[in-house]
Amino acid sequence: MPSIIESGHFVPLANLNSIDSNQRLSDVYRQLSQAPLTGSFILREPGRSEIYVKAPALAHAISTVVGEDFSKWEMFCSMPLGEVIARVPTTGVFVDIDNRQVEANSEEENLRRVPDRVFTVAQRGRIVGWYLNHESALNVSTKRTVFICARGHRNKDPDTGTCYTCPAPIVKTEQE
Amino acid sequence: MFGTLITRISGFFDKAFLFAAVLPTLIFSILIFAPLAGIIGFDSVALWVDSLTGAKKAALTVVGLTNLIVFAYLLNALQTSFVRWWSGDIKFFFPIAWLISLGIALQTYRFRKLREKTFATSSWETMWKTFMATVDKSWSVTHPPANPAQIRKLCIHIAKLHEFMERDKAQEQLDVIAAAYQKISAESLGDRVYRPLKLRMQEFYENDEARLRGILVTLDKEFGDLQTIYASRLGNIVESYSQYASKRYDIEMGVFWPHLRNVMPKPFLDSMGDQKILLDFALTMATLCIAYSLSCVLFGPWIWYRPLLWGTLALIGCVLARLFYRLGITAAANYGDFWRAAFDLYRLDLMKALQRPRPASLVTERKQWMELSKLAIYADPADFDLRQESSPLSENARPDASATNFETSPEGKKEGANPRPADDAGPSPSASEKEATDY
Repeated sequence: MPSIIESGHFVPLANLNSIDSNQRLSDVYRQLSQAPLTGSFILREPGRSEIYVKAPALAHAISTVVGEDFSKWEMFCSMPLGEVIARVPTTGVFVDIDNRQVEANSEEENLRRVPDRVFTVAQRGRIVGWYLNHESALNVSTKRTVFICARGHRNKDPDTGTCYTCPAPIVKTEQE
Repeated sequence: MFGTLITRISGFFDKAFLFAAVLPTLIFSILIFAPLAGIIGFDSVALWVDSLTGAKKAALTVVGLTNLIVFAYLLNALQTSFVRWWSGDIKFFFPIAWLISLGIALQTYRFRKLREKTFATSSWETMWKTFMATVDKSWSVTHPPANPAQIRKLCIHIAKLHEFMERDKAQEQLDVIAAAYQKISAESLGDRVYRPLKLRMQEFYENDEARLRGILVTLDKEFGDLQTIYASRLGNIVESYSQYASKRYDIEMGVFWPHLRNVMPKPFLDSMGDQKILLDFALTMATLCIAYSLSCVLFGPWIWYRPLLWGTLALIGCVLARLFYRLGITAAANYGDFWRAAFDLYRLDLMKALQRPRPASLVTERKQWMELSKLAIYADPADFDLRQESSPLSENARPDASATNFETSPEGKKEGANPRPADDAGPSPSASEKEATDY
C-alpha cells in the first residue's frame, strides 16, 4: 500500500489555496482561476476551524439564491466570502477537515474508510499538504468554475456581477 | 540621603533628560558662543583661554557645567509648556493672540475642507454604468466586425483616459467608444476594447475610493473635532490622539492614562517613551532656535553692528525652528500611533486590573468604561460587583446564580460544563470566551 504522499489523493500544501473569509467573493474566484487547483480551497475564518470548500458548488449555490434577480450577483460579488456563505445553502459545498494530523508515511486504507473528509498531512511535524479521502472532493479540485453572462460569454470570475466582455449580467455558473 | 543622591545622579543620565534637555542646551550654547567667538576672533579666544591659570580654567569649567545643568533642568521642566506653545494652546498670551486666531482660522479651514472631501464619491463608477447602459442598448452582432485600424483608434481613446482628467473630457472619450458600438459588431470589440476599458475604469474607481479612505484617515489622525481645533498642525495631531480612547471606547483618557501605563509592558512603554523623547527634543530645539533668532535680532546689533550678519543668523534660526517643528510633527504622529495602540492593546488588561468583568462586546465595553469614567470624574455612586469568578463568593458558586445573572447554554448543560456568564454580568471569562469576543 503506498504512503499518503505518494497517493493520487494527496494534494501538496502549495497547490491548494487558503483563503480568508474576509476576502471578496470576486477576488476569491479571481485568485482561484490562477491557482494550480482551481476547483477548491481551504477557507480560514478567525476563531473557527478550517474547512474545505468546493468552489463550483459554492458558485452554484449562489446562483440558486440569485435566481432570476441577476442584480444580486453584484451584491454577492462585493461581499466578504464569510458573509456570502452565511446567506447561501451550503449542502454539498463543504467537506470537513479532520482535526487530527496524519503522518505522511501512514497508510491510506484507514483514511478511506471514513466518510468524505480532508486530512492535514504532516511530515516531521511540518504540514506538507492535504489528503482528500474520496473522489467527490478530489475530482472537484481540478474543475474550473465558469461564470456565464446573459450573452453566453464565459468568465473566470464574476467580477462585479457583469461580464468582462459585454455589459450583460452573470446568469449562471458551470464547471469545466 | 545617599540613596537620594544616587537617584538624582542616575536621573541625570536618564536618556530622556540627556537627549531632550542636555543635548539641546549644548547645541544652543554652541549656537550662541560660536558667533561670539567669531566676532572676537577665534585666535584671540584661544589665546585668552591659554592665558588662564589651571585654577581659573577649572573654575570656569565648573561654572559652565553648572550653568549647563541648570539650563537643562529648566528646559526639562518647560517641556510640557513647549508642547502647549507649539500646539497653539496659548490663547491668553496677548502679543500673539492675532497669530493664534489666524492659526485657528487656517486649521478650521483645513478641517472643513478635509471633512467636505470625505463626502465626495467617485464619479468613475457612475460614468462606467452609463457607458454600459449605452453599449447594452446598441449591442449588435449584425454590424461588420472591427478592423485593426478601428481597434487601434479605440485603444488610443482608452489610453487617453487617466484618473485625474476632467470628467467632461473623460466622458468625451467614453462617448466616442460607445458610438463605435453602433457601427461595429460588438463581439469583435469584447476582448480588445470592452475588457481593457472596464479594467481601466475599475482601476480609476478603486484608486478614487482608496484616496477617499485616505482622507478619512487623515481627518481622524490629524484632527479631534471642530470644537477643539488648535492653531497649529501639531496641536491638532495631539488633540486627535487625545480623543482616540474617548471616541472609540468611551474611555476618559485624562483619567485613565496613568492607570493604563501601569498595565503596559516595559518594552512597549520604552518604544513609546523614545517617541516622546524625540518629540520633546524637537520642540525644545524649535523653541531654542526661535529664542536664538530673537536674540540675534534684539541683542546682536548691540554687540557688533552688522545687520546682515545678525539677520542671516536670525533667518537660519527660523529655518532650523521650522525644521525641528516638522520633526516634532512626525514624532507627535508616531507617538500618537503608540498612544492609540496602547488603548487598543491594553485597555482590557486595565479593565481586568480595575476588577471589572471582561466585556463580550464593544457595546458592553463602552458601557463599562462610561460607568468607570463617571465614577472617576463625577464620583457617580453606581454600584459595581467586584467579585471574581474564582472567588468562593462568586455568582457562579451561589445556588441561585443561574436564576439571576448567568445564562446556561444548552451545550454547557449537555457537556456538564460550568454555566457561562451573560454578556455584561459576571466575572472574567474563560479563554474560549476571550476568543469569542466579537470585535
